[in-house]
Amino acid sequence: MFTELNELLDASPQRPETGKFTLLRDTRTDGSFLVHHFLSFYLRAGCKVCFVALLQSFSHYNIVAQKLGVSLTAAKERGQLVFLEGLKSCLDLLFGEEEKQSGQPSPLQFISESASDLKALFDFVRTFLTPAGSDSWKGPVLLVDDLSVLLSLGATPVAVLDFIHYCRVTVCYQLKGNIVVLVHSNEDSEDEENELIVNSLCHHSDLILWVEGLATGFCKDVHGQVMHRRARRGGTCWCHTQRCLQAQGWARRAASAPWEMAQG
Amino acid sequence: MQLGTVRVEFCVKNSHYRMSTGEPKLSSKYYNVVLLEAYTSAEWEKPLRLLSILLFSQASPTTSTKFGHYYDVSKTMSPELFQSIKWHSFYLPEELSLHPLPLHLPCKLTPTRQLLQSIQRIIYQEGFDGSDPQKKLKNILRIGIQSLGSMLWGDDICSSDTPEHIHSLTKFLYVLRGLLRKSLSACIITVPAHLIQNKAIMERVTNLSDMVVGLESFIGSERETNPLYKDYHGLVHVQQIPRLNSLICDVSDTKDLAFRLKRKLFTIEVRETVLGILINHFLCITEITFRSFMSF
Repeated sequence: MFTELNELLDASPQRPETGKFTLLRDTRTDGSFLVHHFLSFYLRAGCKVCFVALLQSFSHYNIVAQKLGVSLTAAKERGQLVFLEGLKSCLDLLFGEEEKQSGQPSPLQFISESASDLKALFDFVRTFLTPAGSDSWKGPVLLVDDLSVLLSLGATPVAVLDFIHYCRVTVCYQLKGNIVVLVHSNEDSEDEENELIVNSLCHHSDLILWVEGLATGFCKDVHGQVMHRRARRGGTCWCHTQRCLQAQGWARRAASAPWEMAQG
Repeated sequence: MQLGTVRVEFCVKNSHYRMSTGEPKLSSKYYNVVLLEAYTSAEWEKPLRLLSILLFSQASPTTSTKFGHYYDVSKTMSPELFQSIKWHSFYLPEELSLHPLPLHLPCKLTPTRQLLQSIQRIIYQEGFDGSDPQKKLKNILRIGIQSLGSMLWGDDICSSDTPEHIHSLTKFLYVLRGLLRKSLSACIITVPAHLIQNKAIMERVTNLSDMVVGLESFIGSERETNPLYKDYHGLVHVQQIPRLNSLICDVSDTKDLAFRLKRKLFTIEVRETVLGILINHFLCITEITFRSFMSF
């Protein structure tokens, strides 16, 4: 995890927040480094994490996590991490043996068009995050990388928003856990379904981290900026505090690179 | 070893593809991303391989702004080379009769579905997924697929703004991504992006690919007669670079690439931009003025 980002967000693994929905949004760049940050953050915090990894394999996240000082393999073995590898599940669904087909429904069964909603995926999340009697973990966390892939697999925007809504009710409100979701968006995007989901999630988020590549083009020393928007919910008044930073060399050198404040 | 998927945007002529399991032809420094030897139609075979080599070349751009390779588009691959390697092909009419889909699978029969089944079968039979410990993996399965998304593959995304099969291409890419991730294989795909009406599909295809390279030809555009582009045949757009097993990908210093295609030479060069030319002129004028001033 990145200590500078923790300082910006006033977050600490020793006292993780509860009941929060965090939206990670990237434009003109790759914001998946934030997914790695939150994955290692919540594992260090002792939370039970359900990671719905739709875009990359387990070994990719494990290798990166090891560079950040966390072992996903060990976390899985001690029951702290539940990892849904979307690529593997999809292959099992389409090429699996007939005997396997008759077992538990696949979390991604909507791909085979036998169901139009994401209820199976929600049931998977709820089953594994609902605390068992012997669990000593802190609040549950749902991490999704990335939500835009569900549209590519045939899910409708309404089904995706329903899935997120059910997860928020269960994880954030009932179980007092947290949700972190990554979505992609572009300013001149023609993907209306994706933009609909992004705008809706922005409205419902407690925290938005918006990662943008530089609009002026490539720069060797600065990769982009991170906009941090937090919703303060008090009565009928909504206000957003917004801080915009420029990150220098946030890639592999992010742990030690200085972050400069561009605006207060 | 994680290997990725590539999409290259230019049209090729025929609808066959071939997979090669022959000995690698390149030196080991190119093994990090193996997107090679996609046996497309003969005239694009060498440039396709060269493009892959060039994009992953270890050469520093500061030492050379030009990099290319030598070949001859008037010649086809020699039969002896074909006979010496083991390869598989996919031709849909033959595939349907030889390998019908199992009945229990819920997906409807489509050409791309059959293609996935064929790839999965070859990965398993040839041992590229490591499932058979008796088979020593000596090589990497290289897969080349042409004109994916076109009507040749039974899709309507190139013929309609609101296609019925809007998810067929993206679903195919996702399943293919899974097959490549769990095996020692790599795939290079060409997609006729200029034919796809719904641009949202292309954004999703980009998101599902590891590396995306676009070739933009000047033919038929105003740039064909623009003197700034007189030395080139088109532009190379590196839209996405693989970020496997690392926090973020390495970003190249050079973003402005143009290509020149001749019978025996395919080169990609760092193109001098108009701004770069203007800055150079400005600096030259400034220096001339300064020297003139100092000579008084």
